[in-house]
Amino acid sequence: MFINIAKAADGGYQGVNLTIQSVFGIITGLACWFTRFALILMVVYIVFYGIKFMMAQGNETKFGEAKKSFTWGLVGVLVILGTYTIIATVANGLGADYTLIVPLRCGSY
Amino acid sequence: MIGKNIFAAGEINIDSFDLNPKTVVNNTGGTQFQMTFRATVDVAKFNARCGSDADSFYWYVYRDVTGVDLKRGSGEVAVSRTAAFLNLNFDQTISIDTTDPDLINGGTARYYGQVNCPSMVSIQIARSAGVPITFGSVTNKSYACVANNNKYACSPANLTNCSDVSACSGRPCVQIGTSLCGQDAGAAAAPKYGCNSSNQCVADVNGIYSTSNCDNKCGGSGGTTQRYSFEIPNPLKGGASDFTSLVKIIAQWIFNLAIPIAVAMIVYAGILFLTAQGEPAKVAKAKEVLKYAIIGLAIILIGSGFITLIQSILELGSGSQ
Repeated sequence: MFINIAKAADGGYQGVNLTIQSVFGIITGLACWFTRFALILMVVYIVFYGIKFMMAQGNETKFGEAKKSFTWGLVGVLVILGTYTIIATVANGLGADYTLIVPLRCGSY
Repeated sequence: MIGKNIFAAGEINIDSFDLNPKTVVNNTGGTQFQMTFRATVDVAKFNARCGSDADSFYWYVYRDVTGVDLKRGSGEVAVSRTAAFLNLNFDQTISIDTTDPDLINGGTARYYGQVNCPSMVSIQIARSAGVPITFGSVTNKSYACVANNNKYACSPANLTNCSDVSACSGRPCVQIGTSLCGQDAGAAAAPKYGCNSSNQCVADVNGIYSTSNCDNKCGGSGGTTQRYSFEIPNPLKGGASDFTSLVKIIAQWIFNLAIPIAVAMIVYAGILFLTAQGEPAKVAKAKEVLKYAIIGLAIILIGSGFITLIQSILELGSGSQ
């Protein structure tokens, strides 16, 4: 902000220039990371539920349980993939301008 | 006499201002005075006040009359920026118009020195204390000058040009009362402010302290009364000049922060759904998380709209629905 503390190049103080504005970037980065994590988890769990169906071997109880798990899993997928839809829906319902706030700009990595 | 910076913040300090002789017997109009005028220019402050292109400043001699200041003499002094503090000495013989009606038959007038910026508006910088000069008829008159030792040197032969006194060479020769011959002319060529032992700049009535001009030279703690004008620049960039706009900026920042958090919470709810494996308790928890994430998002989006909402509730009776 006012005093540039990071002067690592000339052997001064070590550290990163952290401003209050960069907190926004950090939080955004965490949200983006969390979304990517959820996408991976999504694949893992759908495969897992598929295995559950296979392991049921026609057993009615196990099959019912697997079906219920998969159904709620699909709800989870819907929520994760539909995050911005949910936010946009809520914002639109309240009459707010959501075009500037979603989706988050997550970068290319 | 010592300058007091009554207008500004020490751009030019009047170290010494004095007029001699103190007593003028033959008040003929254009009276010659020996002026002692010494000033210290703080170049940085002078630049800020008068402009860095100002290459001079004006000095004035005013007669101090209650309610009105009468200009009685003026001149210009060049400022060559060779040091941070310039000690300028522009002692000279000046002619002061002393034909003020109240002085013709004798009287006392106070004169002070002043320095101004050389601009059109001529900003006042500093003013010295007044020097009282007595005019009037004295029975025993003698021509004299103020010699180098600051004493009145009277002409033995009472010559109008004091040419019989070597000490008077080049100095104005005026009539004074004979009783003043050899007396101290009352000049205060050296500053009467000094630094005391506790580094304070105080009035030096007895001449004990250092006679250096103590402005800026007493460890930074001056004892003289000075008037400083200063302002704190607004550290808030982005146009927040009052409290309301500051709150708006902070609110906007928190709002920006809230959106990624909302995204993260909704994704978290999705993960809870995904990992619930159909267990009713976990599904119920996931539902709660999603529900409160959406409620929180709604509250964030409404934000300052709540104020309008409450206002509209309070104004229900006004009929402006």
